[in-house]
This record gives sequence, C-alpha cells and structure tokens, in this order.
Amino acid sequence: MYIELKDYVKVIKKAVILDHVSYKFEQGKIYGLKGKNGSGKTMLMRAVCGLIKKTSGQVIIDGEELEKDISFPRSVGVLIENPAFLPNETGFWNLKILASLQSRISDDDIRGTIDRVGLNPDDKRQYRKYSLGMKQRLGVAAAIMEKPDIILLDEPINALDEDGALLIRNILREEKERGAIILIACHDTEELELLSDEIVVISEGKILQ
Amino acid sequence: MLRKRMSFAYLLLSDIKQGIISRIWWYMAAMPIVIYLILMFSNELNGMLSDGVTRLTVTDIFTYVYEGVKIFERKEDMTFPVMFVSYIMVPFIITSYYPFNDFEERGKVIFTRTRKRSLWWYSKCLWNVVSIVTYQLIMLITAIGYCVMGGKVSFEPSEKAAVHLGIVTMDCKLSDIFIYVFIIPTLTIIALSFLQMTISVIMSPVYGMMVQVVMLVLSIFVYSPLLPHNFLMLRRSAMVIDNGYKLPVVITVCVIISVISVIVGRNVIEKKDIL
Repeated sequence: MYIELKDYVKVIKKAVILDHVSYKFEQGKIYGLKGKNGSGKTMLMRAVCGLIKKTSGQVIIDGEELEKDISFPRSVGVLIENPAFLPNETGFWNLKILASLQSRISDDDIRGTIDRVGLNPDDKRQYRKYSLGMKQRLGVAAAIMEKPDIILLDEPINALDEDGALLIRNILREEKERGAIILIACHDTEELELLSDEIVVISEGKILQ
Repeated sequence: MLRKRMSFAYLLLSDIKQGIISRIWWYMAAMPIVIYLILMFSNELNGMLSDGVTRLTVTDIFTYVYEGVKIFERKEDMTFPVMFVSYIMVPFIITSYYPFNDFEERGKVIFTRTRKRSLWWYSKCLWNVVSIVTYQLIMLITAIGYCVMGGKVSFEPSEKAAVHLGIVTMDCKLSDIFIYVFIIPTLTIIALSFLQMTISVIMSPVYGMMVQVVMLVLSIFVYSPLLPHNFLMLRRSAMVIDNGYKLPVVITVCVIISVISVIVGRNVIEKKDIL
C-alpha cells in the first residue's frame, strides 16, 4: 500500500494551492505535515482522499489513479477541519450512521472505538452538548473505526488535554503498527516530532525536500 | 452492488431523518397557512353574518390555496398577490438549505465512505420529493381536520366555491378537479424544487431562492409554460379558461425541468471540490 503524488497541481480561482507536488507515502508510517496556515497541508489531504479535483498531475493509491481508476481511495478515514456530526444525535449514533454507509463493522466495534478514544459509548448526551475535546475525540474515532488503510488527520490533538493527546498518540502508533499510512497535519512542532516517522514540510503549496 | 444499494438506503434514511423528521416543525408551517386561508375563504364566501353558511370541502380549500390570479392584462388593474406569493414560497424556503449544508458539512465523511458522489445526489433528489409530498400531506391533513370538525369530510367541490373560482363543474369530472387541485401543484413544486436544489449546489441557496422569487413574480405577469409557477394558479388552468394549461403540458414541462436539473446537478456534484 502506498500513496504517490506525481507533479500534482491544484489551482483555485487563479491561486496555486498545490504546486507540482511529488511525494510517496508508504505503508506503516506516520507522516507529519508541517507548515504555516495556508501552506497547503489540508489541501494535500483533500487531494489524497479525492475531495478535490486536480488541475493536473496524479494521485496514485496502490497502483490505482484517482479520478481515473477510482474516485476515492478504497479505504480511508478522515478528520479534516471540524468533525462533521449530527448535533442532535449521540456520539454512538453518529458513528453508527457513518458506519452503516459501508457496513463493515458491528455495533460492538463502534463501541470499542469510542471507548478506545476515551469516551463513554453509553453516553446519552447529544453531540451538540459535547466539549471541544470530546468532539475532537469522536472525530478521531470516526476516522479510525473501520480500520482504514489510510488515515488523514488534520490537527488531531486540537483542544485535547495532555492525557487526551497521549491517548491519541498511542492510538496512532497502534494504527501504524497495523500497517496504515497516516498523515497528520499539526502546528505543534514538538507534537509532530513525537508522533511522526517522517516530517514533510510544506510551504506555499510546495513540499520542501 | 449490494453494498452500494445499502449505502444509498442508509443515506436516504439519514436524509429523511435529518432533513425532514428532525425539522418537522418547518413543515408544520403548512398548518397555519391552510388555517388562515380557510378563514379567508370562508369569510369571502359566506361573509361574517350571513345565514346558510357553506362549509368548505377539502377540494374547496385546495382550490383556494392554489387559486392564484387571472392572466395579467395591461388594461386591467391588478393588485399584486403578496399573500399568494408569500405562501407559495414556503415549501421552497423549507427545502432550500439542507442539501447545501449537508454537502459542505458532512460531504467529506460521506463521500469517502460511499465512494460515489452520485449516491449522495440521488438521495437528495429523493429527499426533495419526500419533502414536498410531506408538506402537501400536512396541508391535506389540516384541510381534512377542518372538515372533520365541521362534521363532514368531502372532496366534492361545493357549488359556491366553484362559482367563486369560475370552475364550470358540470364540464369538469371529479378526477380532473383532483388532478388540477392536488396532483399538478405537487408535481410543479417538486420540479421547481429540483431546479432550486441544483442552483443551490452550483452557486448557493440564496441564488436558488432568488431564481424562485424572480420566476414566481414574472409568472404573475406573464402566462407561459416556460414559467412553471403558472401551473400553481388554478385561475390559469383549462378548468377555468379556454386557453388554460393542461395536464400534458404540465407533465412535459415538469419532467424536462426535473430531468435536466437532476442530470446537471449530478454532473456538478461529481466535479465540485469539497473544501
């Protein structure tokens, strides 16, 4: 399993957001995307998971090209910007609704994942009553619950306390051991260095080698 | 294939739950509108103190809801039907934001799981149909409720109401009245709602609403099948005037609008960036 970007360009309203990006991400590694606000980290993630259409270039996932062979990666979990959940449902039901779209995991798997991120699977509170940290944990749970081959997390440690951050770090290491390709975008250099096997610096849409 | 069907089924169920059931109070706006119109129509037909009150039937109520205005002629004075325009817009307001918001907010987690953008779009199209039918049903239930309170539920148009509208009931079969009063407005609103939804995802819900308002206002002054809001005005139907719109024209126009909207919308969704 690998993800390869070949000379990928994305232009939006004449602004070059990703500028001839070429990189290969390999299985069983955590890649930390480092860069200022607006450097292109999140766009890179969107490009990898098929949420944006290329201007030119290629994204190849395990031999299949996005927008040609496949529209989206076959197995991907994402947490990009704000977690998108239904405010009037509980955490469990939110994950169940998402999981039902692929029908790959059971209710017990969902409950196990909620527990794994440090939340209570039996919590009857609606999502809109969650704290920021709880929302973030649920977002991570949604990204990992189906044990995807590719995990993309944008600022996963945001709003988490020290215990929460440690928990997420451990989870990501376990996912890496499972063989997932993990891309994390994070402003915190120290956190990136703790987590990542490789740091990829992005500036003005370019990957700095 | 089975997995895609299941994904679609869950998407649709989620849309019905989130887009209709969770927002049912919006759809209940149909009730005060119908009640208000019942009072208005009763007052028009019977006056406040007259004897021999005509009790409105379900069909009477719906003919008044979709009465509209006569074809505009320059030489005649016409009061702009502010009330009619206002309540005709209600189902379009109700369905305006949900698809757009769902795309922007949940699009990334849904598309990466269903792996097919068109499933999301088709689910929204079906949601649209269910939404409009729900709205119409609430109106119908309210009208039936009024009739129940009066002691008699009838779908026969009353003579007085038919005369008010100018329907020549002797020439109209009950089935024709049913088609013009219930089916045509529903089909038309569904078609226009598809158009609005497509414009909303291409541009934004605000533009979708603007197009609706412009078309509706234009249709007040221009009688043309190219302005389908005309089909929401019974006074312009073949039941009332010789050159009025007929069912085959309505179906043709509505089908064309719906098909084009669904296809264009699907193509836009396939290419649109989720930012």
